[in-house]
Amino acid sequence: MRFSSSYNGFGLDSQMSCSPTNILKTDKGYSFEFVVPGFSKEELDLEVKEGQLLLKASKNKEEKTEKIRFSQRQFGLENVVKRFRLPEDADAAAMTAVLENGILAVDLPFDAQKHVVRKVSIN
Amino acid sequence: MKTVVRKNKMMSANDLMSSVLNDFLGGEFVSGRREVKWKPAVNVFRTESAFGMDVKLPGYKKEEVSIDLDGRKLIIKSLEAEKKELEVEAKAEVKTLRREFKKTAFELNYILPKTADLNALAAAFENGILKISIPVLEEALPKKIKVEIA
Repeated sequence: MRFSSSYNGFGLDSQMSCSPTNILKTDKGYSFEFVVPGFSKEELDLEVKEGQLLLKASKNKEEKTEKIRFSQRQFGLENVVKRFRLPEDADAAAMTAVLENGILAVDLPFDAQKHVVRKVSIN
Repeated sequence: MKTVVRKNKMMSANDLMSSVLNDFLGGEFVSGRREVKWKPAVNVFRTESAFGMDVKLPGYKKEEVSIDLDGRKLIIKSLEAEKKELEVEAKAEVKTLRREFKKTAFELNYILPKTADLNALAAAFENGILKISIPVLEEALPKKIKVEIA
């Protein structure tokens, strides 16, 4: 078991890859933005398991027919593994994901039964 | 909005270096530079018949990036992308729980080699990576001459 912080309800379990992530909260739910440039839809794998959201990105080994000589190399395509603990008031079954311009946007709506805003009356 | 303030207050090693050099050289050292500081990661490579560049720009849309050729100088920039992000964040109903990246304005300049065929420069966005390829001029390609043995 790795260190997992309870920061805002999200446990960060994997810091192996340097793929940055944004997490936003709207009035409808949570939205994650994973930075995965260079990966196609087929090379990404997103799953929910035991209350955790798991993102894996791995490049299919391409056959390089042409010889490439780099004169400057500032990035490569490393495999990505990201794991987040899902917040308890989220509905994992209603999760949607869209890949656009190298960013995987995952929308995670609130679970209407668990996300209850209760008004407390003051006597 | 907070981030903007912080950016102005903090001084990275790079900024500090150029400000020291600026004081020393009388402001001429970074004359070509604007306020734009961040630069995306770029791979520059060459294949047998072409020069290539891959610029890592996740989240940027085609419309937000411009590519210009000024003689041999290739200018890739995006000066507007940053504003839209701040607009989204400024909305009251959006709360940022964790922010590890954002689109930032940038400008890249490259001088292309003389052997590059500038008229045939092509660019395409592919999964957040801007791919630029410039064929090598035909006359600059190595010629193969077959010599018959008498």
